[in-house]
Parts: sequence; structure tokens; C-alpha cells
Amino acid sequence: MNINRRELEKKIKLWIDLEAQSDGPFEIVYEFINDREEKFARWIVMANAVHEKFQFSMNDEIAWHEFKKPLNESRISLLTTAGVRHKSDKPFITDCENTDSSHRMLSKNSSNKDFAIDHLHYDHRQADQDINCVFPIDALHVLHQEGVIGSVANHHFGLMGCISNTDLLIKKTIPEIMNTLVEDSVDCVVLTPG
Amino acid sequence: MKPEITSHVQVPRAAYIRFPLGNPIGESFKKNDQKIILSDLLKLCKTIKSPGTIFELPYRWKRTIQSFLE
Repeated sequence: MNINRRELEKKIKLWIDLEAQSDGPFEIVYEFINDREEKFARWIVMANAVHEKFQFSMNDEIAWHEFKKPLNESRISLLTTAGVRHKSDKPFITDCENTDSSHRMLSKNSSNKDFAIDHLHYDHRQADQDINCVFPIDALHVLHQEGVIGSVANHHFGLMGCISNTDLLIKKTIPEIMNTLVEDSVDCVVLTPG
Repeated sequence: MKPEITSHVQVPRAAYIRFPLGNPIGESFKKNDQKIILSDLLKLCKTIKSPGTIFELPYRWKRTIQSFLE
């Protein structure tokens, strides 16, 4: 998909204006070319209305690297934005207006009882019982034992999902995570949401 | 993951599964299902050749899961 940032920003402004002018939200449906675009527009308007500091962040271009190494020789890490941390870690801030852009390192040798979830935007009752619903560390170990992957990385990562302001995330947290991944010689990271 | 949002972020590759929020890797304690889904995600890293592809996994909530990538 080739997205023009300026065109997208113009559309977002149009959608917000339409919503402001409309008696009911999004009754002027002819502005949308498909269902996915309308869903995105509704989400943008909702997020702008709910979160004062909300800004939509997109990449300027797709950072594409073909995955050439055989999977059974590759070192794999997990990163989840489901608000997962060790119980012994500092809790995440769950108030989206005070965005928590920090991350928690998750050990590859932890079990279900070692984890906690701080997140108010999804139902994590199942994940509270079995962290693998959002952070599949046990499945990753099994795939290693079965020879599907080469190795399990030493470090995995927990972040919040409701990060309405991404400045600190992009400038500080992601570079820190990238450094850890490079030091650990990780070949592939699987990202999972909440 | 919501494909209508992810498609605008410009990620290299992604997979979408029609499961409830909070269960992207499946139901709690269904270890074999979780393993199949994670295995499929890793295999998709190899098989997706077009930047920006969002692949929809064919699994449905509360139904039997058998990998389609075996």
C-alpha cells in the first residue's frame, strides 16, 4: 500500500470536520471509498474526541527487509503492546493522557504466575490466567524444542498499547529496544497487541 | 490488531486473526492452538514477499485450529 501522508492528513481533517457538522456521526458515507477506510475514519474521529493529545503516527515508508535466514536457524524475540510486565516491575501508567511510553524487559524463563497486565482498553481476563494469549512465550519455547526456530532470544518486551503521544516512544524507547535486539543477535521479532 | 488501522501505519508485514481483543494468540491454555498460530506467524515472515501485506489467518474463534501452512 502506498500512502501519501499529506493526503491522509487532509482526509483526517475532512473526517473530523464532517463529524463536527453532522447531527449523527458519519452520515455522509459517500466520502468513503471502502469499508476499511470508513472504519479507520471512525477510529480517528473517536480517538481525537477521547484523547486530547492524540496524534496518529505512521511510517514515512515501509521498512522492508526480506527474511532470508532459515527459520530453524533464526533467533526470535517477542514484543507485546498488551501492557505485560513482571509482577516485580514498576506498573505501567494506564491513563492515556499521561502516556506511558516506557518498556519492561520480559525474561524468557518466566511462568504465568510471574506476569501482570496493566491495560484498561481490552478484556484480559483470559490473559490474566494464561499470559500466552497475548505473549506466547511458552509456544516459542515449544517451537524451539521442536526445531522450528533456531533459538529463543534472551530478552522480550512489554509495552503499553494506548500511547496517544508517540514522541518519547520513537526517540527513546524504540532505540533502546533495538540496541538490546542487536546485542542479542535477534533475527526476527513478533509483535502482538492486546 | 485492527487491519483498518494497521494498513495506515505502513508496517512491513502483518497478520490479522478474527479473534476477540485480548486473545490475538488464541484461547487460554489451548497450548496446541497457540503454538500453531505463532508458528504460522513466523512462517508468514518468510512467505510474505510484498511490503505492507496484511494476511488474514483463516481461523475462527472457538473452532478447531489446524495449520493451513503445514
